Amino acid sequence: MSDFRRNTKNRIRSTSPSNTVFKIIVTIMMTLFSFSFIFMFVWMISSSFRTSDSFNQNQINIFNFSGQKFSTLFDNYKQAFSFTWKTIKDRKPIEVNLFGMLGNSMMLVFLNLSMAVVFPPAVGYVMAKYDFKFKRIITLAIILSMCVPTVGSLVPTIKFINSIGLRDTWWSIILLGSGGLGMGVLLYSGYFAAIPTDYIESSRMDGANNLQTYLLIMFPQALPLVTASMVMSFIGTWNDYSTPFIYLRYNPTVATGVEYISARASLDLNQPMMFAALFIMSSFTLIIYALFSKRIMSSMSVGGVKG
Amino acid sequence: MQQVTQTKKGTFKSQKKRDILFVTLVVAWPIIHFLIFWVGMNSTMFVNSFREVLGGEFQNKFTFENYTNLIRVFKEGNIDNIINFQAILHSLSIIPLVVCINIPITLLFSYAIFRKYKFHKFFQITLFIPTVISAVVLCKVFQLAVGGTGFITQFLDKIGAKVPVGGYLGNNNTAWITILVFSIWTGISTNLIYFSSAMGRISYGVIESAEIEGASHFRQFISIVIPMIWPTITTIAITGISAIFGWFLPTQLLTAGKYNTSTLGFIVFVNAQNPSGTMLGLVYSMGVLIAVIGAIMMFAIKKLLESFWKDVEY
Repeated sequence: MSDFRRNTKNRIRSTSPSNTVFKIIVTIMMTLFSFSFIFMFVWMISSSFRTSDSFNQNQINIFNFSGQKFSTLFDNYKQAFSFTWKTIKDRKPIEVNLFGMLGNSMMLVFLNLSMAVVFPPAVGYVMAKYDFKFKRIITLAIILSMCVPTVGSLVPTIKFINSIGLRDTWWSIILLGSGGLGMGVLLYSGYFAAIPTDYIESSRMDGANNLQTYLLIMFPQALPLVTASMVMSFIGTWNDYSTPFIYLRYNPTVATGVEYISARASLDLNQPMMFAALFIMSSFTLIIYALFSKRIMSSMSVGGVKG
Repeated sequence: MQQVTQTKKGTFKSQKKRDILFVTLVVAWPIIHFLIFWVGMNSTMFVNSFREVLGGEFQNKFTFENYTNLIRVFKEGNIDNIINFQAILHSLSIIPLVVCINIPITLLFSYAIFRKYKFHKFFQITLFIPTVISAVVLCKVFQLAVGGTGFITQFLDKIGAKVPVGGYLGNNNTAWITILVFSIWTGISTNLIYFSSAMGRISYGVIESAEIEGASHFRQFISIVIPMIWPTITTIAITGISAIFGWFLPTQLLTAGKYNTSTLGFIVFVNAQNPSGTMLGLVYSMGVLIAVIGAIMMFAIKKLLESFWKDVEY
């Protein structure tokens, strides 16, 4: 380390009182937020193992397991898994339990991830590396879709999906999710723009066509961003409430299903069962986040940040 | 295709054709999708906002003279017991919440993580929890905590706070404020990644120079970090404000629209469940107003934000 940098580091370490006050204030704020999230999570896990009587007597006492035996510790989880949501579609009864809801969530995640890996990277790549007539139109479309609040178009969209007979089918998810023009294109476009065009020229000299160049040379170089956006897409889709609520009314995912479990839990005065379902739902995204948090943190940036 | 240099003379035309074919194959479906689901659906919304609805069916053809629905949006104070103007005010009230509270707090936290304050790794993980966990889970836990017998309600009761009957979410005077508190609590999380990532690109030399000049951390935050990541802040603010107009989930899950907690997004969401209902004309008109007013606001805010600091090269 050079003398200059060492001296600077020493000066940086000698913090002034104003820095200390600033640090303390920000740290206190972060601590309050952090502990509220941790407490919420601990409360959820702890309550999911308590009996309803114990919980109703004192909600906050998270270590009160009075009347609880080890053999009955997982009763709330058993009840959550044995819960069945029932409805009727075209005069036929439909029953979906928590396993079915988890399966529906996985199907939804699979479809959305498949589309997230196909469309935005490809559009981002051609936006970054090719000049073509509709480039400005695509940029305008992305800006419009990000900036103009079009919540009102939900009604005609539902009517359209209804009219082509795709509502309550997985095809509606594929059709609606396959657009590709959005924030993802901007992220990929910026990423591919930073990769030298020499790679494309070299692959052409070796006889590769455009598709081969993209799939074999350029796409693998974007894998860090692909992984990060896939993880974010997984979390977003798994937690998505409104899309399955509107377009998959007879295939409840775990996000919409916990609403039904929560309603049953309220009726039965058995909130611990709801907490068990909530924890089951959360555990999937938490595991994924724990595995990929570093990749997410290092790959995301938006807004034309120069660096 | 100027960016990709041609490798051999004579193959220019055929290469250009292959490039055009490749680009066309890649962008064709996204453009068609945009034309159907953005242009098409919004045009339908616009046209139908000028048509009268009776018994769930549109009665007349589109004409600009038929602006009854638009007038009803302003004149009628009540749509299906969902207070209309209050919904507009509620939706608009979230804008200062995002711009003046959520974004500044997120920036402060991102800065602390960027400057590696004590326990920054711990905070980086825990502060991101609301993004990882579903809004459904957060709403359910919060709902129970501030409900009539919830532990927060009981705690506030013990310390002498005036607790409304039915808890903070079950009262006309407190329900909306409670939802706003919930939004602040959970709203600082998502953008932490983007701000931290943008700050991470700032050269250490810049910070080092500021330290040598004797600038405090707060001064560096205000005068160096914020201007340097301003394009990111602008993008996040605009997308955040745009999302506010469709904001409905906390209202849907915490109060189901009761106790004066309706928002514009909630009205559209509720009526969208029944796309043959009698309120469709009004909902279309509201959609048009949201899109027009929202777009004007978006571009005005964008211009305003961009006027503070220009793009910084570093």
